[in-house]
Amino acid sequence: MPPRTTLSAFLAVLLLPSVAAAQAFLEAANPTSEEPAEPLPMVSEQLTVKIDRQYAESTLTQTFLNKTNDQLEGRYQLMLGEGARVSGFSYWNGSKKIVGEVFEKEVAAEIYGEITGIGRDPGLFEQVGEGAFAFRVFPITAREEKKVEVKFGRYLTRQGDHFEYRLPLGATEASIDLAIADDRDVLAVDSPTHALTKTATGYTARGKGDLIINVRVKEQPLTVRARLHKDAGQDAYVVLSMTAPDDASAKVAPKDITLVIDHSGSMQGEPMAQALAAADKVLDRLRPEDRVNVIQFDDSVDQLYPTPQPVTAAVRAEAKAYVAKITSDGGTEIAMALGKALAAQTKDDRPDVILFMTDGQSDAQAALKVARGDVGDARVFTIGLGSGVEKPLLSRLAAEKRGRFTFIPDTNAVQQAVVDVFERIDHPVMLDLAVTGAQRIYPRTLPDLARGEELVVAARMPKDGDLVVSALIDGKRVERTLHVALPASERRPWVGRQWAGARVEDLLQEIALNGETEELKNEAIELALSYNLVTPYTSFLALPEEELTDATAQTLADARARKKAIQAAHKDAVALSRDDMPPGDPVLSIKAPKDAKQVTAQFPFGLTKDLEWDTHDETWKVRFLVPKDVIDGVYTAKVVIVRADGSIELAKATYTIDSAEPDFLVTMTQTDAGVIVRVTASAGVTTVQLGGVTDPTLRVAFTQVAPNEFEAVLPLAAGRHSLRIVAADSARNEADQVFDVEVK
Amino acid sequence: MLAAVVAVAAAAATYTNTETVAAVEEKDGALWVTTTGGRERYDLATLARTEVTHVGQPAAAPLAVAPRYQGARETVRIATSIGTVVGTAGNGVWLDGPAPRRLTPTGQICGNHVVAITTWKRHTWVATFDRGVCWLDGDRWVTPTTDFRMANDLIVTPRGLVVAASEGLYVSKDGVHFARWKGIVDDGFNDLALVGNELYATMPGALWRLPVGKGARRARTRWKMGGAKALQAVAADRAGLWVTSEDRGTLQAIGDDDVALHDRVSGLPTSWHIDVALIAGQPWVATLRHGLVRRGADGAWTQVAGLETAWLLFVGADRAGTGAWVGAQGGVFHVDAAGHVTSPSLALPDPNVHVVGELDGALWIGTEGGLVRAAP
Repeated sequence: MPPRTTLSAFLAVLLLPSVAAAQAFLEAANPTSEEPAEPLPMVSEQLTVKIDRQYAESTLTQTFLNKTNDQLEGRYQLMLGEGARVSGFSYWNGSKKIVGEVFEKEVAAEIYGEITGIGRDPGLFEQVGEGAFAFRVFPITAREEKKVEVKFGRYLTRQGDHFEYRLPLGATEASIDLAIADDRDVLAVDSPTHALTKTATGYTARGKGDLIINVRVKEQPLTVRARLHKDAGQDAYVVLSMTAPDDASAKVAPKDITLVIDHSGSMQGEPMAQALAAADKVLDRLRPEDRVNVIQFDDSVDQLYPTPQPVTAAVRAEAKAYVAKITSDGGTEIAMALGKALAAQTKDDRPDVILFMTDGQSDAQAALKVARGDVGDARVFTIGLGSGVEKPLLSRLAAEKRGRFTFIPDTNAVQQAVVDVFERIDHPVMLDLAVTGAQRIYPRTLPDLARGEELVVAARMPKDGDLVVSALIDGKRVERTLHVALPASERRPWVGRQWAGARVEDLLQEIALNGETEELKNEAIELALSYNLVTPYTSFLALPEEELTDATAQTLADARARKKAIQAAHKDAVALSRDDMPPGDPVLSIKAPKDAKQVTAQFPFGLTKDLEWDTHDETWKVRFLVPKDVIDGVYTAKVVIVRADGSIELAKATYTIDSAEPDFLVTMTQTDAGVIVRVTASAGVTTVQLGGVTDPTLRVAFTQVAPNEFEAVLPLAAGRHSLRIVAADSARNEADQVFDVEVK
Repeated sequence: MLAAVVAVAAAAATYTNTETVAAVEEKDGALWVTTTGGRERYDLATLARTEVTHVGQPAAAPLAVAPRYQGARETVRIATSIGTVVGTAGNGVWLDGPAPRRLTPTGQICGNHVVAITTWKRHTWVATFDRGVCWLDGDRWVTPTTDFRMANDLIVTPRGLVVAASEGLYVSKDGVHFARWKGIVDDGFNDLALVGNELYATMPGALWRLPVGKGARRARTRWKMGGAKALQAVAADRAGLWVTSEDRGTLQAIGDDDVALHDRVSGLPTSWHIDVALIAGQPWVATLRHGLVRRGADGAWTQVAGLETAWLLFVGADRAGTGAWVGAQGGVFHVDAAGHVTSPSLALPDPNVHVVGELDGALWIGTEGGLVRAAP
């Protein structure tokens, strides 16, 4: 079975791959015309992927062209799939990059509305669905190329020894750069969709259409791994992972299978046909030692047997005939059907599995009450069919009963997907999992693991300790321990964001199930603002600040002030997201007459200071501090000058706060002259240096050979060398990569 | 891990400058004045200041054209039961009238953001971020008139008191008159160190070595070190010379011509190093946002665990010379030779600590919001 992709382990949700539609597009309409919006052609696409063990951080840069002679309003749509978390958004006005920051959705929309009203160029990036994002921009002028950049991350769950990166790309030939940092042996990296070219530190590819990359690593099952992020003085974040044994000869325990099929009216047509065909195939796969039952429900419940029956030929035939006669009708009473299914389980040692298929929505509280009230040990695997399904309810039901929720958005794919789910749950090898040694663990309940399946949890650790994973394997309690000695600090921000994202998802589920309360909503917003997450309550807003009206600037300042206050209450998050902030004490100099009556500057972070006359270089000066918690962006200090004759002059000084680590990729070529190392860096990188890890005397400064391109020739002797490359930008943000090179 | 707390006597004195006024209010039979150095209470009958509460910075006033009053920008003018009261940006609060009366006490510390401290001519001197230098005479501060205001460091040398300022390098023999160092036209001086009769001074692009007494090498040198463009602090003894930078980490002088770089390329967590102190001959380095790193006798660097924040501003040797005081964007800490971290239980007027010194039997802590003197 090929590795499954796009698994959001934190919520125990399986997303089965569907046929990939165009993953991103920018459609645009002429605001003065009645013509429908049309997609703008994409003229370039670049994808950079960095995989840290199994966490993939992607930067997708796309450029679209307005080929018309009209000014257009654009709407960019991006389908990243479940489990993806957007962490950055920018767009360009000409050559100027406008960087987005996260605000409350309503505030962002309000500012966006105010600005579009005066014909400016803001960008608003919002979540519009599960893994779906949209961005509005206005205006796109005639013949303008509009460049957009989105950064997003996703944990790539492993199946056995391999995991998969998948992203639908556009019809334009894309340039792809891939880097993999993994402390395990990487056995293979390949792609069924693109030809990968190996470089010294990664892979490159060019091509059109969906991208799939398969990675195979060497790691023993039941090995507990942890990735950490820790800011000094704060609790650590940890992402723990471990895979179940993938032994094909493992004994498969006889089990009781109960198929629960929703036959409400909304299932009519293809979904019903697919669900029944899937049930039929599951029945075909049952073994004689299993027992089976079938339950159908709409707003009433009918079940084939009082309790699951041994799968004799007669029972199998009867069950298949029962399934074949199911027709769609009525409403959807999940609680009643679930209650019947749970009550019909036998009280013995056999594993009880309920496969619950539905496309509808129901009384969530009633269904959860049934699940929580059941004291039996049946596992409930919920399968949501089609886009109308109530995912929070089915996800929470599965979690309550230690199963998994599988979402199948494409109803044409139901049959195969359900069979795949059954194959997985037919071979549970680790039961009753528990993780101890950490706090605030997500997901709240841990599912059983099938062969080769991976457990992934996010948690907090306040101090050194043992992380212990325990589970039943072949009826015996097995424990695996990893001792974690927390460093004073360790940077891996994705680990922190994974934890925060899992917590936010949990809150959103709670809101969906129990209704929105101020407490839940505020916590979700505060976490999203503090950890830079796009959620149903928060959006990225990018706008050219120097063009704001005073009123809009005030609205923005108020929003920032609120965000700042929220971040002050989440010091751990602030430490995480602000760690790269280059503060400083710049000097503002203004040329004004020596006899000016007043030269006063106001800074946007809440400071008003008078400038002083400097007799040495005959300018007015003031030194000011940029606090460490100032958010990245372009800021303008305003200066009022009152001359001796009373005339008034207003001046502005613009400066940029940039805390983003630069990105870079390295390629290496061995020649007679030595090893030529070429670094392709993100915009703004000014210096690149290389040092020897094992040979500290080795230090090389790179020469810039083209915009964002740096090169050096290393006179390396034959043998293995461990090298560290550091790229730095003008704001003194740094990033490094360490890699081993074999010179022949 | 939180730093352990050691008992320290309550601050014997907290010095703040209250001459920049943000708001004035008459309430409960008193005049309440909000300033950048604290909230003051003035008795309406005596007009004497009876109380100062050190609180956070007041909200910024909107940018506006304002008249000048008593040589400073007028920020507040209100009618009170005792007459019109006027607040200024830099010259305190006044009772207006034919003969205006200053209410704000004189003899205040020159600025709230204290960046350096030393003892000279039996007096405590401080350098401030944007209000020059001043010295403590009994319980009053004296502020000499200088051409510079943006001071960064000050040090006592055989030539007198030397001040590194953004405006240039200045020296004074009497504490009254400060002159630019003869022949040096550069500005942007950051930090100073003295070894024997040789003075080291950093500016972003270069390190100066200047003779200040007998026995020094006669020629001054101006050394562009290791390609660094943003030198910060310098520490030196007879055995070594160490300079921190924002872009090349810590630079170790090798003879007069070469440097060794200790930065991210060489494996340290960052290249942005703020300050350096020599403890038992080895450098301890405060980084901007990656905590404190120190070099062992074997040449290996280790990161000190246990600081409550990784955002540092200062490191300096303690009185014994075996441990260090660390100023951070979040308090003050002491690290002993074994790497144990403690923190004095002191109420600071501002959490950002830029300098700590043990002078004249007292512990002095310079913050962005004022200076604290405490018994160690």
